[in-house]
This record gives sequence, structure tokens and C-alpha cells, in this order.
Amino acid sequence: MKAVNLIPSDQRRGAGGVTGRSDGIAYVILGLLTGVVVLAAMWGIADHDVGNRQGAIAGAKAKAVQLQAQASALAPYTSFQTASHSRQQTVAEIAQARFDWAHTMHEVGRVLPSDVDLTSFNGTGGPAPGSAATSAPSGSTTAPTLTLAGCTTSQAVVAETMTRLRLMDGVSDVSIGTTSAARPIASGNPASAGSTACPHSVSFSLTVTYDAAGVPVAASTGGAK
Amino acid sequence: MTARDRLVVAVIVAVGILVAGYLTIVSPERGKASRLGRQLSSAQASITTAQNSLQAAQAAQTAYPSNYSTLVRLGKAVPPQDQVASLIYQLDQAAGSKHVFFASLANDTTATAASTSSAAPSFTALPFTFTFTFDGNYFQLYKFLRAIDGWTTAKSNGGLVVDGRLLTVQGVTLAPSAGSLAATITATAYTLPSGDLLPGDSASTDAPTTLTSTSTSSPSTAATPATVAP
Repeated sequence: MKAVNLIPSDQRRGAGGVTGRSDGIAYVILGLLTGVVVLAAMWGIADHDVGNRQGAIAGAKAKAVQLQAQASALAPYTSFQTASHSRQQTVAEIAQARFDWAHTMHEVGRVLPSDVDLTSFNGTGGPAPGSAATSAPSGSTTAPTLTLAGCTTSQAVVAETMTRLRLMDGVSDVSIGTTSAARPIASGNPASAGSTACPHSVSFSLTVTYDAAGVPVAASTGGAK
Repeated sequence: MTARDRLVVAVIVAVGILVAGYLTIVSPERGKASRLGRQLSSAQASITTAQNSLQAAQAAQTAYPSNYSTLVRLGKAVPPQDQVASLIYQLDQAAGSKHVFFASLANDTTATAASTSSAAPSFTALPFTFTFTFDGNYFQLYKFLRAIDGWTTAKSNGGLVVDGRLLTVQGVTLAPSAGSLAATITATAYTLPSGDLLPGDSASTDAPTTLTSTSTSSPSTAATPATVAP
């Protein structure tokens, strides 16, 4: 005898498979709702961020404007400080760019042999007025030159003088202009070499040229007190 | 349409709804939030900039007395006007202290005005070229030159010592002169241009009201030879 299941087929356990009686539409709707909730959450978070950031931006802009206003109110102090520093820097540059003629005189006094008398000391050159060594265009600083004229006892001393002048700071060249020895006309009258003031018979003129890039700076040799 | 077909269509529709919702609602909002985040960073950067500006300004305000003092001191080196009277006074004082006879001073009107370096464009100096004639011996003149160089000296650390007018000596000529030694010094003094004046400049116009005679001392050493014999 064949057993017969009297339960209707749509009410039996497992009827319709995993999709159930709705053929899975219920799951789809459930998934859709879940997705909508997730999207809503994402939108909510983004909207919250937008609100927060808009507020923060407004606050930051207001604070920046306030700080700028405070800084602008103090701008005269800033520009005063800038001008003061700028002026100090310019004065320092000019002071440093000067050629140290005092040091040159001191060195000439040190290196000249004792039996040399000078009749003329003529120094020219150095930085152009207003030019600073660090920023002046090339050519505005001319190489200082020192022209010395004098007399001494012999040509050998003239040569020694040239050699010793080369020992001075910053000297790039020592050139001879003239050197002439006069034969004494009479004893007791040595000043016959063309210069009536000179007590020696050999007169000379020399030109000392300084290196324009390495001129002595006044500050490097100490104060003047 | 079978049940499976209906299920597939339902899934596609649901996914389409979700994607459309994301693209039309959520994504623009997230993009807006991201844009605002960048704007916020920019705004915070401008706050930092403004704070730095304010701190610098406050520091400048704190340093104002010091800067004012510096400016006044610099006014002794580079005054707002030519202040030749003050220059003569300083030269006379220096010459007297070094026992050098200060004989004459002449303004070299042939000198052309020059500007200082472009490193400090706000500062423009107008040089005045003077010729000084002094009587004295070699080492007195050396000391005198040292003294006028020392009125304004730059220190190795970039600082300045200002004790008088800033002068740039452009030439020194020594020659025998009537039993003494005459020196002609060509120098340049500096002044501030009128458009570059600051509040402290008015305080530096400290020209003496009375000038002493230019002949403060006689030739110091009667035994000075006619020749320069160092």
C-alpha cells in the first residue's frame, strides 16, 4: 500500500526551497532596505562632516581676519623694524667696503727703509661713493693705487723699497715710475736730484697697486680710539 | 516569467536603486565634505600665517625701543640732512685731539650723487665729496685718518659701532707744506634722502648749535720735516 502525504504541498517543511514562498523577493527587499540604511548612514555622516567643516571654516576665516587685523594694526612697527634693519645693513656694508687708508699709511711707515724720505704720498681709488662691496656691480670698485715719490741714498735702496712695499696687505703690484741718481755736484749739497726738498741723491717714484677684491677693510684692523 | 527570472530582475532593480542613491545623494555629499575639508586646511594655514605675522609684528612692537635707538644712533652716521656744520664740528674735534691743524674744507660740487646698493632699496645715500686740508706730521695724520674711520665701524658679527659721521675716504695726498706736512683728503659723507625718513630720524638732528673755530691748534710739531720720513 503506498503512503500518501495528505499535507498540502505548499505547507510542507522546506516547501519552495530557500527562497520560500515569495521566490526570494523578500530577501531582495530586505537587502534593499539594508542598503538604503547604509546609504542613509553614509549620507548622514557626510552631512554631519559638511556641517562641522562649514562651521570650522567660518570660524577659521573669522579668526584669520581677526589675526590679520591685529597684525595690520601693528604693521607700522614691522615696517619700522624692516627699515631700521635695512638701513643698518647698508651702513655696515658701506663701512666694510671702505679702503683702510689709515692702515695703508701705517704699513708704509713700517716697511719703508729708514734712509728713504718721501716727498709725495698720493692715494686714490677704492669703492665708489655709495657702493657696498657685497652688492656693487663689478667695476664700481676701482683698485686703489698709491703713488709715492721720494729720495734715498742709492738705487739698491729703491729696489729694497719696492720689495718691502710688496709686503703690505692687499698689494698686488709695485711698479717703478722713475728712479734717477744725480752725481753730486759738490759735497754737502746732496739735494741735486731734482727735488729741492730731498736730502738724498737718488729720487724715485713708485706706484703701489692694491687688489680690488682684497682691499683692507677698516673694521678688520680694529678701532680708532 | 519564471520565479528565477523575477528574482534576478528584483536583484538588479535593488542594486540599481542603491547605486543610483549612492551616486545622486551620498557621493555628492561626501564630495562636498571632502572639498570643505580642503578649504578648512587652507583656512587653518591662513590662521597659521596670520599668527606668524602677528607674532612678528608683536616682536617688532617689543623691539621698537631698541630699533628706535638704533635708528637714532645711525642718524649720527647718516643724518637726514647734510649737516655740514656737525661734520665740521666732528672733524675739528678729531683734528684737535690728534694735534692736527684742520685748515680747510671745501664741498666738491662736481661730485655726482650716487645711490647705495640694491641690497637695501629703502636706503639711498647722497654723497658729498669734501676736500680736507690738514697740517701735521705723518703719524698724526695716520691717527686722524684712523679716528675718522672709527666714527662708524662694522664689527665682524655684522654689528655697528657708531660714534660719528660715516665717511668714505677716496683719496689721500700728502705733500710738504711750509715746514710741515699738508694732507688733502677726499672723502664722501652720506645723507638720507628726504623720502626715506622715519620717526627716529628727527631725533638724530643733533647738530651743535655753536661751532668752534676751524683753527683749533697750531701745527703740532715745529720739528716736523718738510719730507715725509716715516
